[in-house]
Order: sequence, then structure tokens, then C-alpha cells
Amino acid sequence: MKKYFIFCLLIMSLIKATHAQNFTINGYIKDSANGETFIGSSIRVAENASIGATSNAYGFYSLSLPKGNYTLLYSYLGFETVERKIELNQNLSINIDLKKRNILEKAIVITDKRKDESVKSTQMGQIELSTEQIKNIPAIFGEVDVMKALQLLPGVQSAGEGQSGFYVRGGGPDQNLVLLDDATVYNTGHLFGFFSVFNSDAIKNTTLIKGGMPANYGGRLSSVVDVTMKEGNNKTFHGSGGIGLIASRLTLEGPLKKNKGSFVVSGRRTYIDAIIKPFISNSQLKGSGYYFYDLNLKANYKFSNKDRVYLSGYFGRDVFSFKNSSGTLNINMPWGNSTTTVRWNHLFNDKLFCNTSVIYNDYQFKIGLSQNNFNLGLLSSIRDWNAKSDFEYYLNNKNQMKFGFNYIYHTFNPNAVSIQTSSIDITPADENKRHAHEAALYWLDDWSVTSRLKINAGLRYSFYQQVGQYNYILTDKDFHPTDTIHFNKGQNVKTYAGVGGLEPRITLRYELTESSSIKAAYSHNNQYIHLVSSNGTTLPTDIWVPSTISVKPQISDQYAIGYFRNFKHNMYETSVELYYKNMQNQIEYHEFYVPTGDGNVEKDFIFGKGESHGAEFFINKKEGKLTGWIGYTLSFTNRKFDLLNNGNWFPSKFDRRHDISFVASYELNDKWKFGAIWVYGSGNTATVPDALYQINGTLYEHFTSVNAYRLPSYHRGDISATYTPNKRNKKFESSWTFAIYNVYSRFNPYFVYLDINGSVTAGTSSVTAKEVSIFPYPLPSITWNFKF
Amino acid sequence: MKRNIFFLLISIATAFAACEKNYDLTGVSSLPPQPVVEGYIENGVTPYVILTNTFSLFGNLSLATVSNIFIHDAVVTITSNKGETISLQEKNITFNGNKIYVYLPTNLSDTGKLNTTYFLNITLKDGSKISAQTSILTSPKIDSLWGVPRNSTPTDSLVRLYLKRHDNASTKDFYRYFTKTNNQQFLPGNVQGLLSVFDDEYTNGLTYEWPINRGIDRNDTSKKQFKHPFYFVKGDTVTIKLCAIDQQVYDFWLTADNAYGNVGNPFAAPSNVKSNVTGALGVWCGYATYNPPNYYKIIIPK
Repeated sequence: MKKYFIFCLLIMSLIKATHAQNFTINGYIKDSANGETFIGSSIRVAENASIGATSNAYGFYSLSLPKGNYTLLYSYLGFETVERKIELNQNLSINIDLKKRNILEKAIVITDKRKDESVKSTQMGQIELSTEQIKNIPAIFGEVDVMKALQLLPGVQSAGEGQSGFYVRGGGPDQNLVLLDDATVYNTGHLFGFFSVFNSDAIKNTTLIKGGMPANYGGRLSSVVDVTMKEGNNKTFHGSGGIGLIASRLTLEGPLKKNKGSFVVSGRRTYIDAIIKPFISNSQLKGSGYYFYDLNLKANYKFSNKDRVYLSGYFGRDVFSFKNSSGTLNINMPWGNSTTTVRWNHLFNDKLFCNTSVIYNDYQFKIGLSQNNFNLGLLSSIRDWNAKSDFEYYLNNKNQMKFGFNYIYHTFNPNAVSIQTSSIDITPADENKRHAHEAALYWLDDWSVTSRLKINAGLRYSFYQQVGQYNYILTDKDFHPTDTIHFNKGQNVKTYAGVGGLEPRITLRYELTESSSIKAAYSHNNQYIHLVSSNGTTLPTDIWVPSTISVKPQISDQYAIGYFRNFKHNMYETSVELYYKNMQNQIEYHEFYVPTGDGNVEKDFIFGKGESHGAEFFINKKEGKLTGWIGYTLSFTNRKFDLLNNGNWFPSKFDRRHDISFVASYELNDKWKFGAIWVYGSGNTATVPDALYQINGTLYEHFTSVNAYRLPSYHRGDISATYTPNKRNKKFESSWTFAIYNVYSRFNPYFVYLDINGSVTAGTSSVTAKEVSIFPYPLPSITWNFKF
Repeated sequence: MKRNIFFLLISIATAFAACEKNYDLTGVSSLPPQPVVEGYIENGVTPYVILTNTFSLFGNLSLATVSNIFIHDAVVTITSNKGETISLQEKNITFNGNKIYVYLPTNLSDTGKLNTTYFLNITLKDGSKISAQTSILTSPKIDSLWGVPRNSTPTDSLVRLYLKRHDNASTKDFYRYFTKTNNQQFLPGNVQGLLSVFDDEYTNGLTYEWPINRGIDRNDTSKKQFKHPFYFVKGDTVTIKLCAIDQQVYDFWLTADNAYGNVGNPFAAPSNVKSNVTGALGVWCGYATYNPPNYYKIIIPK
């Protein structure tokens, strides 16, 4: 700790020394067409290539320079660069609107020398994807999906066929912090992950940080997915939407007051239920229905040049229902997230930007079953109240600091059962809930030490406290309850703080040449909430649990080193990154675990450790008619639990030796765009039985080794074509997207199981191994999109 | 239950697209044969023990190989905490037309007694020892049994059966139940999600009414029995065998039923069955029942 204080003091003194005669230029960078702010657009000084700035999450930038004459270049991918000559003898506020480039102009712009983030920033393993880029990637059922697009990046692995859940560098799906306008999204998938909860029409930008997580983020070990909703057009009223095979979308946006404020409302609903109804009228699925919908809403208003307020919200539900023909059995099962974020951007002065957010988010999973006079209810929920302030201090052109705090009050209800019959009325007790305070303070500095060396150093201090009401249930070695300790409301149950709460993070960049650099990163992360899944996929039934007296926080240390090189005037970005990560207090269920709906979920947990290491290769072509990337990951992920696999190391379910993705999109002309992807992943690990035995004629499986078997490898190709007819009128534009998923009909194993039939003692047994593939045949889709 | 509903849900989603085919698991390592115990002792009923070996995934499961799974010539004795000793000897009996080998008491009138703990000791031919302990607890009583028609349509013959009973407040209780329809065999129950066991988590100390689902024949894969899995039919004579069991026996059947229900479910994790036997897999199972072998009977009115 002492070292960090000295380090801070040293930086502050350096800053003071260089601070005196500078002036500041600040402002916002926006899209000229609709007023949407740009995240990560760049501002460069033509006279000195080593000086520049990047706009933040709200499109704000600040740059300090000595008195003099300068040419500022404002640029954003796919937009025309704006050049501004200034005479700097006082602080200036310059807002810039960038215009979209058309294809023909691109060829010229390529020769323009751009600042290159990939090589020059201190960020490691950070990738930004705009929704425009994602729209060119072929998607299953034509539903454009940011989460699926992320899975095509090196180091990010899909959790399974069609899954929204993903693994980053050997970490579980719960180790990814998924944020939608600062609100945590606990369940990112609809229809058990085949579709993500993010309606692409409402999304502006998605940033993935998979390594070297800066200190302003925390609470997860492996990655951050920061999704930003669109702000809405603040100039004119517009609408857009699409009609697809299984869902339709509609987005409306417009000014609240021209150039001052705007709103966007976006909705999506599926009609799978209506489509399949005729097909299931004679099957055992008769009477069942399923649909999901999303609603995104965002509004913002600029009260002054210094104050802007945002309100954003998300509400989504999946609903499954079943009613038998006689109407005596009814099942209703809704689940989904809702989030609300209120944000206030305030500019204290030319150099100090602050965003303060108050966030509420809620995830619920419910089952209601009624049969005659018997009613059963199951609820699992998470509710967070969250407040945070993030300051960005643009001290000078060598130092940009961020500091802030974050506080969350969690209420978890992992499993609450209610039963009503004629003689029983059980409602869940309050002691079933888990309450916790999670807080963090952080500071970081992005510091250009010399023209070649840049350091991003930060420290995060996290604090976590579980408080009552709570019944702490002690268990014996057979996982049976032995005793209960009761904690009253508000009483401290367990606090995780002190030295263990310190999370140092550092990334170094050393520029070798104008177009190449090496970077190294170290990060220490704590995670206080956990998703315990028995099978590695992400299902709404999976239970999130907070750290408690018996569940310690997950801890990781990650080391990474990388070489970054751009070619052909930054048209090609390439990188190689090596990483090593160790993880403590990992959670699994014991080998005899039976999901019974018991509220005391912790009693079936066992704890162990994990490690992951690997190499990631990335070639990205960012501009031109043909764009896209090739990513390759070689990785090894293992776990060790005293109570599993005889205490020996075993491959984690997140272990994937080779992972390749190839993504291409090609703009032939104004009318036709084509997209293609190809993915390859080594087979998933699986636990298969090593013996069978009979009890009362029924065959049972016996398992000894965990994840010792590997399923066949996964590979798949998808293609798409988008046709945009000539505009008939200026006000209405439409396009058709044709896509084929699994174009060469690969039978990828979704799972393998032993089909056991008959009685052993009657001599009628049969055992056959079966492989189940989902979407084994080419799956065509067609979507019509429109804009007005 | 959540998983079962999800299984249904994924079936819907993939009904048109999913495809299943045979898979070659050759190359998977096999465990050398391990002994498996299946032993039962119940108040007023002759105890018996079946000893078998585990077998490999790729063995041929014809009748000939099935007869090879039995372990012969073991020395099997049962002792109780009340000083009683029962010796068992291997007998060859015919079951469903097939020969199976069962260890039965030398004196067939030896039966289990209520409120007694029984120790099973087995010495195999190679000298290896197997031991286990189980208890026959107190008889669980049922106050009343009645049927409720599924709906008011007179032509609908399906009936839901209910029981009323009182649970002892001072003990943590575990149960397994079976149903027998007319002259068929006893079938293990189906409380929810194919579990044949339940505990008093939600009913401790209460007098409660509860629906009794028809038992499921785990060896009948014809799926016919799943058409109306909960119901009995008007005119049926139904026998309910309710057994009080100890926690270790409960754990065995809970994990065994869970494993049975997991077959083919992609959302289920592979889980082992938790044995209460030392030196072998399987179960040494004590049942406390009321009025065996008649138990509780109801004739559902037509």
C-alpha cells in the first residue's frame, strides 16, 4: 500500500512540473446526421504525432497543449476526418460533427495517416465493435447479435451451439461483467442463450476488455462487456425496424428538443409460438407456448454545456407456458432482466469530467405450477441498487486520470419455494435471501512517461460485507445440515476487506516503431458474486449466489504480454498475446449433487482452484471493400478440487485447445454486401461413465474421471448477403438480408449421452451412445429491414 | 422439476432442427469390475441381498452376459444392534422367466424388525470385505386415502389419489413410496421429476394432504406410462407402500433417481449415485412400513 502512495505522489509531482503554461481544448464528437456521440473517436495533433486524445464513453474529449498554432484532426472509423486549425492562447471548447464516408471515398482515406489505437494505447485485450460492424456478420435466424459477434474474437469462446454465454481466457460465464448503460445484466440470453438480450437496433457500441482490466472496472475475474445504448437522433424524427423469421423489431427515435435532447424506444418480440403451434398440435408438446420480448428506452437532455442527464432502461422477458388439454395442469414460467440507469454528466472544468449514475437492476426467474388444488411456486432473483461516480481528469497531454467509487446493495434470492395445498401453505422465509454491501474505490493514471513508454497504472480497493437476515447452515462431510446460526437483520455475517481488497492493475506499452509496440499487463481481481452451473452452459435456471460466510470471493491474477504491429498504413492490425491466469476459490457442485430446489444452495458447493494459459493471434483488416479478421487461440485450462477426480488436476469445461474464427465482409457496391464466417473449436470436454451397474434391473452409470473425454471438434460456416435496393424516395430506405447458418451441414455434437433402455435382470437392456446435434442442416433465414 | 421443464422447452426449440444419431464411444477407459450390493430388509419381510459386478460400457448385454454379472460364493451375514444374527446363502431363483442369484436367509422365516439397526457383512471369495449399516425405523402411518376425479366429465376415468397423514415434529423424516395397481408389481413413486423419495422439509410437524403420483416402472421404456403419469383409473385397486428410511438410504435413492432422470438431458451434469456401502457400490436398504405385505389399500370407486 505504501508503495502506491509513493507512486501517486511521484506522478503528482511530475504532473505539477509540466502543468504550468498549457491550455485546454475540450468538447464532444458527434455524428452529424443524428447527433449520436462517438465513443473512442480520436483527436490528433498534426504537428506532433505523439500527442492525441480519445473521446470517452459520452463522446467527450479533453486535450492540453502549450500555447501555439495547431492543426487538430478528428476521426472515427467510417467517417470523414475533420481538420481544424487553431490558435491556442486560451482554453477552447470545440464540438465536432463527423460526416459518414461513402465507399468510393474510402480508397482515398486509407492513405490518411491515422492514430492507431491498437498499437498506441495502453489497453491490452480491448476490442470495440460498433453495431454497424456487427450487422455485417451472418446471424442465426437473421437476428443480429452482439454477444455472438464477441465470440468470434480470439480468447473468447462460445459456451456451446448458439449460446450467448461465453468463456474468456478459461474463465466461466459468470466471470464476465456484462453492462448495459452501466447496469449489470445477469442473464444475457433469451431462449437459453440462443439469442442475446441485446436488441441490436438499440445498441450503439460494444466494448470487450478481456485482459488488463483497468481499475475503473471490477467485481469480475475475466472480462468486461460494456454495451452502450443509442442515444437517439437529436435532429429529426426517425424510425427503423425489421421483420425476420422468428422476431420483429421497431425502433423510434427523435429529438426531445433539437440539438438539446433526444429519445430512443426500441422493441422486439418473437413469434415462435405462433409458428410452431400447428406443428405441435398432435404431440406431447401440445398446449405449450413460448415467446420473448425486449424493450429498450433511452432519453437524454443537455441542460447546459456542462450538464447532461441520461435516463435509460431495459425490460425483457422470456415466457414459457404449458396447459394440458383438460386444463388441470398449468405451468407458467417467466424470466428476464430489468434495468434502469439515471446518469448525470457534469463538466466541473475544462479538464475534469464526471459521470454519476444511479442504477437499479433486477433479474427474476419464476415458475408457477398449478394442478387441481396444488400450487407450486419457485422464484430465484437478484436485485441490485447501485450508485457510482466516475471522474476523468485530463491533467495534461501526458496524464489522464480516472478515479471514482461504486457502491452496490445486493439482494439475492437463490431459490425460494412456495407451496399451497388444502392443508399446507408455505411461503419462503426472509432468511432465504442473502444481503450484501459491495463497494469499491479506484484510481488510475494513463501516463506517457516518454514518447515510447506509456503506463496505465491503477489501484482498486474493494470491500464486501454479507449482512443479515441470514441463517448460516453448517454441514457435515456428507453435505447434510448439522446446525444453524441465525443472524439478525443488518447484522454483519462476514466481511471481506483489508489487504485482500487491494486490486492492483498495471499495463505498460513500449513503442518499438511508429507501427509496432509491445505491451505487458498484470491484474489482480476479486469477484464477490458467482454463477454456479452444473454443466457450463448458461441457463436461466442457473443460480447466482453472492459470497457468504461459507463462499469465499473468487480471486485471480492475470499476466499478459503482447506484440502489436500494424501494416499498410494501419489498414491491417495484427497482434500476438500470451497470458497466464490463476484463479482461487472456484466453485463446483459435489459429485452427488441433486438439484432439489432447496434454498440452502451453498451446502452442495465444493471449492478448488484453476489455471489457464494460452496464446492469441489476431489479424484484422479494418478498411477497404473487404474487411474482417482471423483469430486463433491456443489455450489450456485446468482445475483442481480435493473432492473431484481424486483430487487430481482435470481439464475444465472451459478448456478448448484450439479456437479459430474467420470473419469477412465485402461491400461489392451500394446495393450488395456479403458476409461470411467460419469457426473451429476443439471438442468440449465431457465426463463419460467408465462402468455400468444394475440395481433392481435398472442400469446406472459410474463416473471416476472428470472431463477426461473430448467430444469431436466443432466447426461451422455461415454466409449472408444484404441487398439494398435503390431508394425510391428519400424518406424511406429498406434492405433484405439473406443468411444461411451452418452452410455445409456440419453435424456438430451438442451433447453425447448413453441411451439406456430395458431391464438388466429381464435381459431386455440395451445401451447405445447417442450424439445430439442442434441445427445440423443449413438453416436459411430472410430479414427485411427498413428505415425512415 | 426446473430441468425437466427446460428439457421440454429445448425440445420445442429444436423440434425441427435437432438431430440424433448413434455415436461411437470406443476408446473410453473402462473400470475393472467392482462389486455392487443391492440388499433390502423390512419389518415382517424376508431380507435379501443381490451381489453383482459392474460391467464395461461396451459389453454385450445379452441374457448370457447378464448371468455372468452375479457374484457367487460370498459369505453374507446380517447382524443387528439387538444381538440377532441372520446368515444368508446363495439361491438361484427365476425372476421374469430368467435365472438370477439371490442371497436369502437360511431360515426364511427370519424377517426385519421395527426400530432396529442392521449391519451387513460380506466376505467375497477373494477375501475382500464389504460392510454396510441401515435401520428399520418406526412405521409411517397414513390417516386416510381418497381419489379425486381429474375433471367432472363422467366419461373421464382418470383419478388423482390423495393421502392425509401427520408428520412427527421432533424428527427429520425421510420416505420412499411405491404404488401397486391391481395385481401388478410395486413400482417406485414419482414425487416430482421421477424421484421416489421425499423428506419433511415442508411438512415437518404438520397434518397434511398430498397427492400421490402413480409409480413409474424404470425398466419399461415404452413411454406409455408417461402419457398420464400422475393418475390412476376408476375401479383400480391401489396399494400404497410408504416406507420410512434413514438419511443414507434417502441419499442413495435420491441420487439414483436423479441419475435415472438425467439420461439424455443435456442440462444435467453427470453425477454419481451415493452408496451407503463400504467396499462396494450399491445400497443396503432398510424399510419401515405399516402392515406388510398388505400395506394401505384403496379401491377407487367407478
